[in-house]
Amino acid sequence: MGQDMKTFYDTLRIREDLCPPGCSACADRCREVKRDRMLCGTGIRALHLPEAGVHTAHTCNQCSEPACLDVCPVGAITKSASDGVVRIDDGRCLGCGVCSLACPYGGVDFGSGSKKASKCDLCDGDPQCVKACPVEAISFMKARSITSHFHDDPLLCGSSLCVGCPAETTLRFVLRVMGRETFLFGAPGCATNVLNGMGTRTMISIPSHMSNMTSVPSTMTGVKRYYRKMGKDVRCVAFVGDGCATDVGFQPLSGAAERNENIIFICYDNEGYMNTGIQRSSTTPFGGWTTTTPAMGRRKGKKMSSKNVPLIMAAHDIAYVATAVIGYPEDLLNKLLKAMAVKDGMSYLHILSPCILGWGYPIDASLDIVRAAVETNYFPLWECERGQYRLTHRVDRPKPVTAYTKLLKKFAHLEKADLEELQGIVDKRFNTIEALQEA
Amino acid sequence: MSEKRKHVIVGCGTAALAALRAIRRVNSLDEVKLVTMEDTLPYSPTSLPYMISGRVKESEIPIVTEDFFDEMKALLVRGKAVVAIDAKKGEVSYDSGESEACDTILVATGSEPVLPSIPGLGDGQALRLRTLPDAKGLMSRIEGGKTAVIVGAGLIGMHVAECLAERGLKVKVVEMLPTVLRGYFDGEAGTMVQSVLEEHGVEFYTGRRVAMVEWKGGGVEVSLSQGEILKADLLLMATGVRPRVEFLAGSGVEIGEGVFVDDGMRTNIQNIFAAGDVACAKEFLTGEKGMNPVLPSAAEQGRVAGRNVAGEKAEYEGWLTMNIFRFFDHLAVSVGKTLPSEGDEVLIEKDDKKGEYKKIICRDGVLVGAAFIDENLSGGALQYLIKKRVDLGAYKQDLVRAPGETALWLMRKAENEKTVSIEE
Repeated sequence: MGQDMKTFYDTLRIREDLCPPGCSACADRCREVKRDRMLCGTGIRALHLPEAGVHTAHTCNQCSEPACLDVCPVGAITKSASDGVVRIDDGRCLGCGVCSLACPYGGVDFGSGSKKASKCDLCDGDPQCVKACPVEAISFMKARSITSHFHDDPLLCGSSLCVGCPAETTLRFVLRVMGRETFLFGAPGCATNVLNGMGTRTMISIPSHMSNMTSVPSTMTGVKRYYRKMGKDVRCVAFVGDGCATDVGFQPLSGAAERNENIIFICYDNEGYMNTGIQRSSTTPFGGWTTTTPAMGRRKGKKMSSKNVPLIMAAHDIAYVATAVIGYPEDLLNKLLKAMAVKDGMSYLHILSPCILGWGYPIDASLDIVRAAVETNYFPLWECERGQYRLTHRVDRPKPVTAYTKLLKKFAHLEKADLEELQGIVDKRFNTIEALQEA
Repeated sequence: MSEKRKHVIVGCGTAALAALRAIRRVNSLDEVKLVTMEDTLPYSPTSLPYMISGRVKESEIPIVTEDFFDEMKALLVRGKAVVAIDAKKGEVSYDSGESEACDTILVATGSEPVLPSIPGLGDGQALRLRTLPDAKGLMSRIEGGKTAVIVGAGLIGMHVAECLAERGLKVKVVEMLPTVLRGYFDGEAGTMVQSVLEEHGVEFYTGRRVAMVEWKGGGVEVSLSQGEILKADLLLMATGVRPRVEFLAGSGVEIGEGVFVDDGMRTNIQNIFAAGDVACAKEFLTGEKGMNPVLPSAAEQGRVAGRNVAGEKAEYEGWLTMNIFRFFDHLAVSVGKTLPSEGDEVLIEKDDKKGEYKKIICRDGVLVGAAFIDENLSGGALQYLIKKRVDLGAYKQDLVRAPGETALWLMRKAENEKTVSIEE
C-alpha cells in the first residue's frame, strides 16, 4: 500500500504539436483492436478543433488516485499495482457513465451510443496506437524497468526536510539504486537532517558520516583507502549541497579529482545556502535573488553568473561527470549505474535540486521546475565519460529561458534586458557543451 | 512515529470506501473499522435499477470483495448498527448494547428514502428503491402487463420508469414539478427526456401532487391533485432522500439539512467527520452549505475526509450538482447550474427534431453550468472547467458547438498552464 518509489510506470506520451489535421489513425487502430471488448468507445481519441488549430490525441492519465475508481457503483474499475493501469472490467460495467462524470481529465470514453464505459489499458504493455501513428506523435515511455534496479530503501520515513523538497526524493532514488553496500558522506546543509537525524532519531540505515564542509572528499579518500587496505571495496558516496561542493569544499573536491580517487561525489545544487537562510553561493545564477543578493532599487539579484562546476569537474579528466535531475529518472538511473561501474577513478554528479523556499514556487511543482530547467537548456543534461562529452537528453526545440524563470519568484524582478543577458549565458553554456560533444 | 490510532467509519458505501482508500494512500497504519447495519458486502443504490432491468444479478453488485478489506488491513463489521455516539468519550454504541472507544469517527451513513405524508399511503405496501431488500421486493412484483405508478421524477424515479417499461410494465410517473429531472435539467431538456420515455409508453403526470392513496384488493388507486385517479398494481415512491442521522441525536454533532461539515469534512466536533449523502457540505459556486447526494460528491468527500482522518490536511473544494442519465440509448449529462441567475450568460443550441440539446451557462467568462443531451463528451472535463474556473475566452461558442473536443482541449490547455513543465 501507499506510494513509494516502487511506483514507476510505463506511460503514453503524446506530442500534440505533431498530429496532422484530420488524422485519427490512433483511435481507428484502438477501435479495431478493442472492438470486441470496448463495444463502442475507444481508449484513445483524436481531438480536432480546426478553428482553433488544435490537432491532437487524448487518452487516460492512469492516475495514481483515480477518481473513476472511487465512484464506480459496482467496483468494476481497478488500478493494477504491477503495471499501474486503471482498468474497467467490461463484464461488470453497468454502463451508468458515472466514471466519465467523475474523471476531470476526460480519461473515460462514454458517449450517447455507449453501452459500457471504455478507457485505455495500454494494451497490456504493447500499445497499438503507438504503432499506428504515422508521425510518431505517440510514444510509449518505459519507466517501469527503473524499479528492477531498485534495492531495499536504506532511508526510513520521517525526514525533516521541507514538504515537497526534491532533495529527499533524489537521495532516496540514489540510495535505492546503490543499495545498502554504500557508505554515505555528508556535510552541514539541508541534507544534514537525513544523515544525522533529529534528536535521537535517524532515518538512515546504512553507514554514514558527517564531515566538515571543507573535508568531505578528504574524509571519503581516507575511508576508501582504509577499506581498500583491509581488502574491501566499499562504495563511498557523498551527497552534499552546492555550498559544500562548489564553495568552501571546492579545493578538497578539486584535490580528490586531481588524484582521481575512486569515489562518487554527488552535489545537489539548490543554488545557494538554503539551510542557513538563503545566501548566495557560487552556483547562484545570474539575476537570482538571495538574501545576500537582494532585488531592491538598482540591485537585481546576483550580478555575476554561476560557476559551471560540472564542466570544471570534467576538466579534471576524471572518469565520469554528469548532470542530472530527478524529473528524468531514466536518465538519472543510467548515470548512477555508470558512476557505480567506475572502479578506477572518480565520478561527479551535479543534480539540480530546486528549493521551494529559496526559489519561490508551489510545493507540488519541484518536478515541473527541474523539467522546465532542462527543457529550456538552462540545465542541459549531459555526461562526460572518460573525456567523451554527450548530451543525454537533447531538447528538439528549446523554449526561451523565460519559460523557466517565470516559474520562480527568485527571478521575478528581472527585466527584459536582464533576461536577455541570462538567455545569452544559457545559450553560451549550451553551445560549449554541444561543441564539446561534437569535438 | 506517532502511535497507532483507531478510526471507526460508520457506513460502508462509496464515501466510506473512498475514505478508507485515502487513509491507506497516505500510508497511515492506523486501525480502521467499518461498520454497516446491512448484512451484505458494500453495494451502491445506483446499481439497484440495473438489477431491476436484469443487467446485473445480486451477486454482481458488491463494490468490493472480502479480500479488499484484508488488502486494506481494515475490518468490516456487518449487520451491526451504530445507535449512538458519545462525542466526549469518543465512543460509538451499537444496537447489540456494546460500545467501543476510538480516536476518530467518520459518519458515512448515507441517506434513506423520504416519504411525503399522503393520506392512505401508509395503509399498504408502497415500494421504494434504496436497499437490496427494496430491490428484491420490487423485483418479486414485476410482471409484464402490470401497471406501476411511480411518484417522483428524479433520477431514481426516471431510471426505474425506464427499467419497468423495458420489462413490459405500463408505467405512470407523477411529478409535482412542471418537468422531470428538475434537479439536473431545465424545463426544455426535461421535456426532451420525458418525450423519449413517452415514446416508450411511459405516461407522465407532471405539475401534480398525490392527494390520496387507496389500497384496493392487491392494487392501488392514486388520486392526483388535478382530479385524475391512477389505478395500478404497484406504487413506487421515489420522492427523494434524507440523510441517516437519527443515531446522532444528543451527540452534540450539529445537524441541519444534514451533518454540517467544514472544508475538511469535519463536524463541529474535532474528532468526528462526515462525508457522502449524509453530509451538509459547501457548494462550490455559492459557498453555501447544502446536500448533494450523488456518487461523485460522495467519493470526493470521502477522499478528503479520509486524508484528514489520517492526520493529513485536505480541503474540499465544494460540490457541484451533476448527473449523467442514460435512457433508451440516449444520454443526458448535466454539470453545475441548471438555470441561470441574473447576469449569467446562456448559450444554447437546440433542435427538437434531431433531439439535440446543448446548453452552457457562463459567468464572467467562466463556465458555471452545462447540460447536453446525446453528445459524446466528458462530463468530468466540464466539471474541471467549472471547478478550476477556466477562462473560456473566445471558445464559448465552440464549447456549445463541439463540447466533447472543446472541453477536453480547454481542460488540457489549463493543465498545461498549471503544470509548469513545458516539454512538448
